[in-house]
Amino acid sequence: MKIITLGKLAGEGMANLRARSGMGLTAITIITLAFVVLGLFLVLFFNLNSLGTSLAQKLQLRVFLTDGASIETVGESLRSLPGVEGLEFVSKAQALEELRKQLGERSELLDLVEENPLPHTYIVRVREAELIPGIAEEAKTIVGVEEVVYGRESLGKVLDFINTVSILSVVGMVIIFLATLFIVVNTIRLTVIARKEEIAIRKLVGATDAFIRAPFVFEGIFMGLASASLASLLADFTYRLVLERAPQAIPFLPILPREAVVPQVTLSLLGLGVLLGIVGSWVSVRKYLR
Amino acid sequence: MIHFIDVSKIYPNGSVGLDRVNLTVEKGEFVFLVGPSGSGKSTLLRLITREEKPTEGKVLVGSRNIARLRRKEIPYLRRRIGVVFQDFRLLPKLTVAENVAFALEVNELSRKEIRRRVAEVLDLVGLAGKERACPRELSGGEQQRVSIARAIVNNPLVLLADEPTGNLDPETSWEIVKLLETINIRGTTVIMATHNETIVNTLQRRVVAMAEGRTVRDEVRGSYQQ
Ligand SMILES: Nc1ncnc2c1ncn2[C@@H]1O[C@H](COP(=O)(O)OP(=O)(O)OP(=O)(O)O)[C@@H](O)[C@H]1O
Ligand SMILES: [Mg+2]
Repeated sequence: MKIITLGKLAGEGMANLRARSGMGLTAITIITLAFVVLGLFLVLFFNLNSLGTSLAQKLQLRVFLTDGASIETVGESLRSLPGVEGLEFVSKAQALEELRKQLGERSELLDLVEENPLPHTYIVRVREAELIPGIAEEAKTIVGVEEVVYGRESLGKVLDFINTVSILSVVGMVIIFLATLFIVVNTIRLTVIARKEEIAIRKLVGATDAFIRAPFVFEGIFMGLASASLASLLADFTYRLVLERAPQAIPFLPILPREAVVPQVTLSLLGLGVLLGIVGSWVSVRKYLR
Repeated sequence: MIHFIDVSKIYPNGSVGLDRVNLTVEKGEFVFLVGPSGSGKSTLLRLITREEKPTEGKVLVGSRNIARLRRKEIPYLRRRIGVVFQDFRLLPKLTVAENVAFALEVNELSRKEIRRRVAEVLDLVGLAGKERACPRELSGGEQQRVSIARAIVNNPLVLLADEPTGNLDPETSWEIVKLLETINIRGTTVIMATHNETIVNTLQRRVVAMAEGRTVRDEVRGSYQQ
């Protein structure tokens, strides 16, 4: 189809939307509200994802070496484990130095010990928090590894929580998307019914399915995009409010800055809006193309 | 150019539309399709446009068996066929010119070309100067002229007219048939289903008579009744 034809049919779709503007506005309002909720789910989803990642970065594995183990060999074995992103070596001496710093005034206590009791240590950074338990198990089997420690209990619980909430938010998004799809289908179906004669004549004079469908697809896309834009603005506004208040209320939770979330949410909503329009119009015209 | 070979059409509800019809219409012919209500005239025309599929047999348009046409190919068949109905089927909100242009837009012609062809065809059907009128501002005869203009603006091989004079008074009917004759003389094949005895008898063209889904009579210079 030529660009100019597409342009014309897009104009027709816009006109169709305007012709039943009451209906269109109602639909756009409802879809916008639904998209705001969907956007907030997305915000939650992105935050949880980043929380998972930052947990993975913070909760490192500490691998203690046995005395006399080959530092290089153990390092190489650790590096070769899948999911390991990097290693940091802390020697006995460095470890003692650190401990001294942490103890501050009480560091004299350490002078009581004759030999350095601390082991050589590797700090292992992993790609995803989920991988930590598995890597810990693997690391334990390496010759020269004395012990592996990480916040096993708390980490497991936090990861479970993140997973559950992520899944729930995805389910929520799917439900909202289907609900908005239902609204789009029914709104466009009204236009289709109003244009039944035109569709019949177009078929008769040899219009292709794509040609007949195009105005309705555009109408759907306009509706989706309008709703998505409005919803993005509202979601942005809401997120700013949350950012202003939340840090005081729940100081320990790392909340993503606006720049890291809002563009992603906006793009996702616009994409969903377009998808919504295409799928919705497709479904509503299908019956009349037979 | 159009061949029906042992064509039967049984509708899903069991009623018989066509019953083993054999018929050939050559390029440039003018054919009247007559017969009582329910004899299968409209069914025959709808098989040519592939609005219906034959239950059995072949329908050839050109050399293609259109019973076998894929869905995607149907629009291109229809661009080579013009159709006119008893009830005009114009879009009330569009002007005369827009109604005619409707058939050209699906071909994606340029706006200039569309304007040129619309003017030309409106001139041919005797509606020059009525471009901007709306269908409801026109008489029945004029509305039928618009629908004929829309049907022929793509220069179709064949023009199918299903009772085009059914809603018109005798004089206007006559004008419409004269117009169809003009179009036929310019080279377009015309098949017209009708109940109008006077017109059929006066014009002395080929008559195919149908009854109960079968062709029962086919005369080169025929009349309405035997
Ligand atoms: N869409 C349909 N579904 C079921 N049966 C149909 C359909 N269209 C036509 N028929 C049946 O097929 C037979 C032929 O009908 P058709 O409309 O072709 O007759 P016709 O000659 O055009 O009649 P008329 O002169 O009244 O227009 C009739 O028995 C009719 O009831
Ligand atoms: Mg009929």
